[in-house]
Amino acid sequence: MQGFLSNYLIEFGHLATFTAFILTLFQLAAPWLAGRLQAPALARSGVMASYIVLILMTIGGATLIHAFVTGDFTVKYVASHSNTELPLLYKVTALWGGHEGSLFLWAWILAAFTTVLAIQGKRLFPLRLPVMLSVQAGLLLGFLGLILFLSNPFERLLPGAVAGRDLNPLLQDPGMAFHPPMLYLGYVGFSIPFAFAMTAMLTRWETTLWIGLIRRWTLFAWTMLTIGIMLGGWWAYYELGWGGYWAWDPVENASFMPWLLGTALIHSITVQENRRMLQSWNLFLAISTFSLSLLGTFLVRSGVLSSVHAFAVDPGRGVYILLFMITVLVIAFGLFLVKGRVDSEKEAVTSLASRETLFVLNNVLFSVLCLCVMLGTLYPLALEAINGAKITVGAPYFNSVLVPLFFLVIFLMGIGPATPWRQVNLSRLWLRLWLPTVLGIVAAISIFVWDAQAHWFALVGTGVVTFVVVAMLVDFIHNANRRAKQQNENIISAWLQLVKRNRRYYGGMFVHFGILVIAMGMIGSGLFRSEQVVLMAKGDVIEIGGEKLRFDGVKQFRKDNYFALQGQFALVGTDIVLKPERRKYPVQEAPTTESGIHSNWARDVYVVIGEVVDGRYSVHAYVNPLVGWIWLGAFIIVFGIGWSFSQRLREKRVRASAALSQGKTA
Amino acid sequence: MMRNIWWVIIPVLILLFGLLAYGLTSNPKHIPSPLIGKVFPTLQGKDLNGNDVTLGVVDGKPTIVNVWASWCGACRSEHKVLLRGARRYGDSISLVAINYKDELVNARRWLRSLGDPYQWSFHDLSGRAGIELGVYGVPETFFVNKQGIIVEKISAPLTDKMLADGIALMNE
Amino acid sequence: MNKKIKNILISILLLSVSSLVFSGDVNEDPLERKVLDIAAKLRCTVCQNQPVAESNSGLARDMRAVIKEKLQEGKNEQEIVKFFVDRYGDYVLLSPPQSGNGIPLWVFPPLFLLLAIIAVILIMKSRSEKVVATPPSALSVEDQERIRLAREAMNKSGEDE
Repeated sequence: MQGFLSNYLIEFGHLATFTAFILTLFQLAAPWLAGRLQAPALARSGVMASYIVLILMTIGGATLIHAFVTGDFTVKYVASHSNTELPLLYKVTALWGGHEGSLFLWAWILAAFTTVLAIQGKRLFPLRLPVMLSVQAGLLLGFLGLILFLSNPFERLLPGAVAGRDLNPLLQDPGMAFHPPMLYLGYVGFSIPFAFAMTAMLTRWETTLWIGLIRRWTLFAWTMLTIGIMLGGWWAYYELGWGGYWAWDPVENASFMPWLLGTALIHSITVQENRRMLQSWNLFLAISTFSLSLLGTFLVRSGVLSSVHAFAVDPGRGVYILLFMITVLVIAFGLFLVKGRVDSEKEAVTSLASRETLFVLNNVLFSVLCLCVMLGTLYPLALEAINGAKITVGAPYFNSVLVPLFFLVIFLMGIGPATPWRQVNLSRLWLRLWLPTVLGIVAAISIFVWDAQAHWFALVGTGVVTFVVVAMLVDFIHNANRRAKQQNENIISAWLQLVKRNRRYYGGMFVHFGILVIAMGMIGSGLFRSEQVVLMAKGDVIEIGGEKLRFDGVKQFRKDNYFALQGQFALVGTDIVLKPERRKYPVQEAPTTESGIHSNWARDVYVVIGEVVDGRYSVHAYVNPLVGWIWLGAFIIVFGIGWSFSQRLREKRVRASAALSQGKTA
Repeated sequence: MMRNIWWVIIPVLILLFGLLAYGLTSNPKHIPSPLIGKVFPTLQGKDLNGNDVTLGVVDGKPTIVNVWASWCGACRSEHKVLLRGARRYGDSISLVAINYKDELVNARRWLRSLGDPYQWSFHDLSGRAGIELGVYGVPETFFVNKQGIIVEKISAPLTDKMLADGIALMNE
Repeated sequence: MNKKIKNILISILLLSVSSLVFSGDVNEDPLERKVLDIAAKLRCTVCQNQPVAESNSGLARDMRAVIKEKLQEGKNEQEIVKFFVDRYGDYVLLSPPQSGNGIPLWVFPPLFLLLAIIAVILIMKSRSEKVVATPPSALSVEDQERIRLAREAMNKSGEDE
């Protein structure tokens, strides 16, 4: 009996997923049926449907994970993405190691988000919820259809394989194991603002009433996408062995476009919360950001663009995703054109010299950045369609076009906080910005004095970052002094109280600071990198970027499911040993490289060991200044978001203690 | 304002959809050759038997230059097409080969066991001749007309139809 | 005995000498650096979106060897890049050409920025004279209740921003 159950577990998961598909269909139709049949209870049933769909999807996911962990190679997807000797962690993460499983994960996360939305909506907007769930159901339906009919992870392979073809070795890595789920949490998270915007247009729900609700959703999605992109960069850095972390690969661009527009959305939400402006624009941004998530999924999953990530795909799936995307986009933008118009009477601008103008400028820049990434990514395709010519738009193009725009964005970070809403007094603004300006110019000049050969990006970048850091400090000290005076506190407690009480504002400032730290990391590692390719025999020493590296030979061993050749490189004068590896995974017959890295706050020493040429090893060594700052900045960003999110907890506590003290006095 | 936005959003969406639909039909790995319309370069080297040969000298016949290797799986299916082609068009055209980055032994064994449609094979062990011709993956085929001008290059396993079309182009 | 010690001493000496010989400082071959600098500008045509300098594929290796040969023949970077473009087309350049087929890539970004800024200025100008007015229209009971709760919460927590 037990044998029978476990034999058909995967069919059970398949059935659960199929039932979820049917329920989703019902959820999609529920509010419209309810209107037709005058049965409001039917509309409310959408909530229950979303719970059950999540449970069913979880059953489906669990059976797949079970098949991976127990090594059921009669499941085709397991047979082609796992192996008996694969470590347990990667057996689980192999779930999203291929096309079918990735899509399943996408849908699974979407079901989870929908459920959380349903729980929140039951309390805060029960009347609009059915429509919103219907929008989510429409999206889920699209993905479930694809999973069930065109790329089914539950498909059997009979007779089963003996051992499985193993997971792509490049994906057998902690960074890569969690890169896709994070990315999808981001992509799918943007479906919530999308659903709000759609519901607003469908039910004439005034934007101002819900914009505060999507702020956290958007921030959450944005944070996950940021972490996902960062993990991808980190993985590329230590695994691909070319010393870099971002290559402007089409697939990277696909994830970067929604990030850029999501960043614009976060800022324009703030404007609307404070000044009630940009209502139509917010609708547009919410729709566009999610549309770009879909576009990203399409670009990656259809194989339209050639990239490192090139996945084997069959054209049917590409056609399906394209048709699905066209449907969603046509409905969404069509609705926007018909109903997206928000009465412009309310959107008055007091003065062009104001914080809202800077926010708008921020949105302009992020939108232009996004358009440029899209141009660079799709242009080769367009050119080929027009005249058959093929060109490459590689990293040098993106750097030279986008980096100056990023400098402008960073520059705005410095002026923004110093500029009040509605109208700014220019002489008072100057009072707060003269010091940052002077120090920024000094910083740029010192870079020039230090290295006259430096690229102008380095001068301007360092100058702008210094300007913003000082401007943020000036702003902080200014606010702290004001608080100290008003509350009669000493300055230290004023600092602490300021950051503790204004979590949203200072959370945002932490995020900005994280971005600045990342910017410095990129300037350092991108523009001041030392690189050498040398042939080394045992005992040889190279000098690179002020470091001395001695080659002490190689070790060879077998571990888990691979063979490794490990070089031993000593940093002369220390007891630090760098151990780059070349691995060979016998099942997939694919070699991978693991770089040997030693990091401190100032630089990474980075070594890759290559093949033997004339009895010596070809060694690729880099010194990447400040590269650790990039990962540090990512942590600061996550901390800042967390700090900002803790505002509501604080509000709750304050309210509770207020109630308590009232109870005492009464 | 909203009325003007129609004129932006709709064309942009149509453009995007058209582009992506086109993308689904095109092969991202195909690179069009800039050599089409140019004179086939002269390359000197050895054939599989160690004789000195010169590739690119026109003997008044249109020439097909096929790039192949014994380690290339797709070449196997193409080989049958070439054998048929050699029988059918053998009198009117020359069919020569570039054996790309291959061991002599393997290349010879391949031709012995599968049949040799080529008049001779240029042995390009280093891949240098391949780079001269912008070869990026085997099999690739050049169609050169009587004047020695490359009229077509196919970067995929040939089919009978592709071969016939290419020959028609050469004879134009 | 003495002889033995002598032998050991000699062998130690030899060992240290030999290690001295082997552990010399090695430097990067400047020619190799030049090769890589040029290879960094070329796209490896079989790998996806990767420079020839960073790829381990056979073709990339051959291309690096060709670059080296050409440098030894005294060719300059421009000539070498042109050699590859003549054979593989503009596709082989990682940075798109600034002429012909590449022009739109360099024209559009500034155009986007310009148009966006002009559009925003026009819209904001046209709105800046209008009066602020918020008719409390069409609020459902649900929404009004949420607003009331939010106001209450704000008053109670006593934030200063």
